[in-house]
Amino acid sequence: MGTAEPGAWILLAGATRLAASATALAFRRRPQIGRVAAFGGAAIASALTGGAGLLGLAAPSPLRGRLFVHEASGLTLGYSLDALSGFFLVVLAILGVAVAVYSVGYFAHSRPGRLAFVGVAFNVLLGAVEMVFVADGAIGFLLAWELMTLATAALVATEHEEPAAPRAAFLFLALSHVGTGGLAAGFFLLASGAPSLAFSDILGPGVAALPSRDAAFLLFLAGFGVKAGMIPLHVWLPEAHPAAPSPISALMSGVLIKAGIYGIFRVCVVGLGPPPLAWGGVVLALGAVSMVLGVLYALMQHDLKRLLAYHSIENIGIILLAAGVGMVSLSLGRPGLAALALAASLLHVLNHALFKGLLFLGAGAVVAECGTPNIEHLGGLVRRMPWTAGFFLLGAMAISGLPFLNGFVSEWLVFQSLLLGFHSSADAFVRIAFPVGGALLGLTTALAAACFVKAFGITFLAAPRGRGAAEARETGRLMLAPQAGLALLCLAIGLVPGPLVSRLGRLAGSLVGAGAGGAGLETSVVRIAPSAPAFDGLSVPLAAAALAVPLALAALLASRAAFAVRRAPTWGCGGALGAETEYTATAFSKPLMMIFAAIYRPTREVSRLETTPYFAREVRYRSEMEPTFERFVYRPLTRGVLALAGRMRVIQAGSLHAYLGYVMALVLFLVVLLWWRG
Amino acid sequence: MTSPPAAALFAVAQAAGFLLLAPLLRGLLRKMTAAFQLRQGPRLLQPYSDLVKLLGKEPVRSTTASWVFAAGPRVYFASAVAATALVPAVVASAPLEAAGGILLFVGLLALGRFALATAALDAGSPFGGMGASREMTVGALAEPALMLALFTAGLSAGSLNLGELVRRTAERGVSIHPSEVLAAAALFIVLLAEAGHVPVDNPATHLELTMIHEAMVLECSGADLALVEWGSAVKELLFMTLLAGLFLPIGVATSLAPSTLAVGLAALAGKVLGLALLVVLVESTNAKLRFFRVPELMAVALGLAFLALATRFF
Repeated sequence: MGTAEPGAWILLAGATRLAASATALAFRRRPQIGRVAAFGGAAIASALTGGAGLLGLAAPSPLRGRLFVHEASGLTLGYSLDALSGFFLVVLAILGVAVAVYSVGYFAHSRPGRLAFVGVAFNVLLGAVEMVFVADGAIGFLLAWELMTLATAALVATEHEEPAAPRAAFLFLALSHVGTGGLAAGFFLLASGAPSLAFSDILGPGVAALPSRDAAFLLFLAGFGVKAGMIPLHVWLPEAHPAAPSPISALMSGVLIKAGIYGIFRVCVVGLGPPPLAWGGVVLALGAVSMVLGVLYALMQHDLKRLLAYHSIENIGIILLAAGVGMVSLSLGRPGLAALALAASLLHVLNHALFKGLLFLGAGAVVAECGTPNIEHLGGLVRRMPWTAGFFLLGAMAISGLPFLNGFVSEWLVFQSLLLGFHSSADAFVRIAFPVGGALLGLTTALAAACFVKAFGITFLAAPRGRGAAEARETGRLMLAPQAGLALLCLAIGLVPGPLVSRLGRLAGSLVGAGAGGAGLETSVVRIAPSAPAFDGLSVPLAAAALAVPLALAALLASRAAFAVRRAPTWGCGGALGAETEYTATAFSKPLMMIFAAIYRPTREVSRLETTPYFAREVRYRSEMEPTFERFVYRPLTRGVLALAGRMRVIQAGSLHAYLGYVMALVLFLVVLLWWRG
Repeated sequence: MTSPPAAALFAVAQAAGFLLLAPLLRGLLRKMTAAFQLRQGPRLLQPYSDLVKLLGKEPVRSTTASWVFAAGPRVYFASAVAATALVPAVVASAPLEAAGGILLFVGLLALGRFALATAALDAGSPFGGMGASREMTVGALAEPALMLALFTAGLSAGSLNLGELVRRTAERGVSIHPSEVLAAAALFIVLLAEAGHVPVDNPATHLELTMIHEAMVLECSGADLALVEWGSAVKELLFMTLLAGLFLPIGVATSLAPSTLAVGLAALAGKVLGLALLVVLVESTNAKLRFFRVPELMAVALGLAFLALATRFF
């Protein structure tokens, strides 16, 4: 096997993971060795995965091969590595390395037995996601998909003493299995007329002739949508992300939910033949709903990790919005524009993995040091944890889509594709949906900025609001280095997006058959012109220079401040300011709660304990949002399923005779069926 | 304006122009407001004196404040000044058109707002938090209207690059298409919100229950405060220039001949003066809206912007 053979890389990565897991188990009583072996091995394996991914990205046509052949049953697991798989493998590799290195530090004080368990599950999860990205057929894909689900559920339930963790893991498992059921049904529909279950046989332009194509699309969209956390299938996500240990949350948010996006790209966007307009419309609408509701719900969260989890829903929404624009453009026969939108979507996949991984790792450090994820009890950490604060601020600016960081570039591309699509199509749907999508994307970005002013400001600035925050210390280098790496990548993509954007443009172009150029995505100045003259250009280095000069001017003008700054306590209007008078996260997001009350449906309860009517001795205040989807969608559904199960109990009588009767009836039915069909 | 040194020179010149003239606009607005209220008001050049005085003073910073507090005003100022390089003013081209267009412009202003709001939370006073919360809320609510109105202008001209946009508008001449009027009205409401004028915010108040922007910068002092004030003034002049360039393309210089430049400058001054008068008129005849009525105003702006789009393309 030469170096051009990606199977060798994949097998080597798998072997490394196995060895790492075995070492972790063998040294489960020596956590110092086990920890380094498990997560160090995972980091090396992730780097190998990245090597395979780069091979896939560079390959002109899909690289295929076999990984495993079981002679007796004839089961063959093959791989197929094209540019799309390669791209997702690279995303997996970057985040895998960062999270694995971080975990070496994070799990330093974990219980020995638990550590071995986490180490094994972590390696299994990474391997399973890798297999999902390279599977070449339905069987291998579903096997890897299921393994991925089980490993994730195990990791979510790691801290099972907390009542929330097993509950979150169960919710995740239940919804995931419904999703997997949808995928299996979808593959069955596709395979009914195909010679084999290989993707090359069941996916492709040939599917266009299938009468059940629409049903298959919906099944796949739902199945992948569960994993991606698309609203209304998102309910597991805000439970599972906070319940899992922080590095696992980073991995889930960065890579696991992207497996859903990979599936949507592989199957829904290009795998089922040219998509009709309605499919693109559905994906676009679901993306818009997910991003707006995701950020609105995120604004009301005061648990740092839950807040980040809702932002994952928002970003999945942005990714889906762009994918929807791409699908609509494809159905209107504009592959160049489709390539642009899909490139924007893919770039946001990478960007979200980088900044959300960074934010979760930072949040993990904060939670580990302060002992609470509730930002109402944090504050002042910029002094106690200066590096973590700096990295978190960069991540916060990136996710808010501010210039000179990577989030701005991908959102800029999404805006461009929306406007170009509008400009070049007279279709009524496009003319309404695209500008509305643009306005909603603007709203989402601005709300995300508001949310992260809150998340960063309340967590890291002013005075500590609790003992944990007051006594926090900066985390170790092993936990800081991965954050530094991810922050640098965010900054690098933000400042020099050209090469990456043009590479992704070629990738998306090859996906939709728009030729090598895809969209005319040039290098240093990102100029975008599928057919019309350039609509707008973006040169981030130039813009950065334009900002740097006045920044220097500001420093010069205010140079006195550099030498003479007087320090004084903040004026408290005659009273003393302290932790209890500081502005809270609840207060910060209150205006938005009142403005969007129709969506949040808040309830509040104020009780006063008073001795005289004028002076209350104690005031209790409780405010809650109504969990709309849980209450109006999932609760009736659960009740219905339970009621149905209750009825079904009648046939489960526990009598052996009855069961024998059922077997008899089934055999008879099958015989009749065979006879009748010929 | 294609060679890099020329573009850089142009950018510096335009930024200097904005920096020099922005305080004058502030003074003018105050003087006109005073005239409406039959007061004499501060003298026209008072904002310059304020800036000079503040820049020479040592800033007092809270004991709880960190480097974030110092960075806020500087980034805010720099982002406003950087945005001047993207907007055509006297000449029908922007200095750094290659850098980006409308979206970068909006992004730079968002960067400044983010920096200032973050800094406001650093002093630990409830006022800062209140101001930051309100500013981010109003900013978020104004964003869809701003985007949609700018998109309408951009889509009808076929470009999102502000220089290109103004050139095409100037070629086409003044149009009283309903779409233009509606989009201009929407942008004007956004201008009132972004620059903190009545009915959204009252720049002259220090009453804790009503202030938005002022609450956010309450803890800034000395040179820090000077940068915030100057940055806000530049941002306001910038918005007015943008509004004038997009919807009133009269007299914009299309060549570098001294006479056309003089006409362009005079035309711009006239348009900004007119807009300032309009702002003062609105400020003097309206009461400040209760904060929770502001979303309704922003909804009106969004509705206008959407109608602008609809009348243009359906």
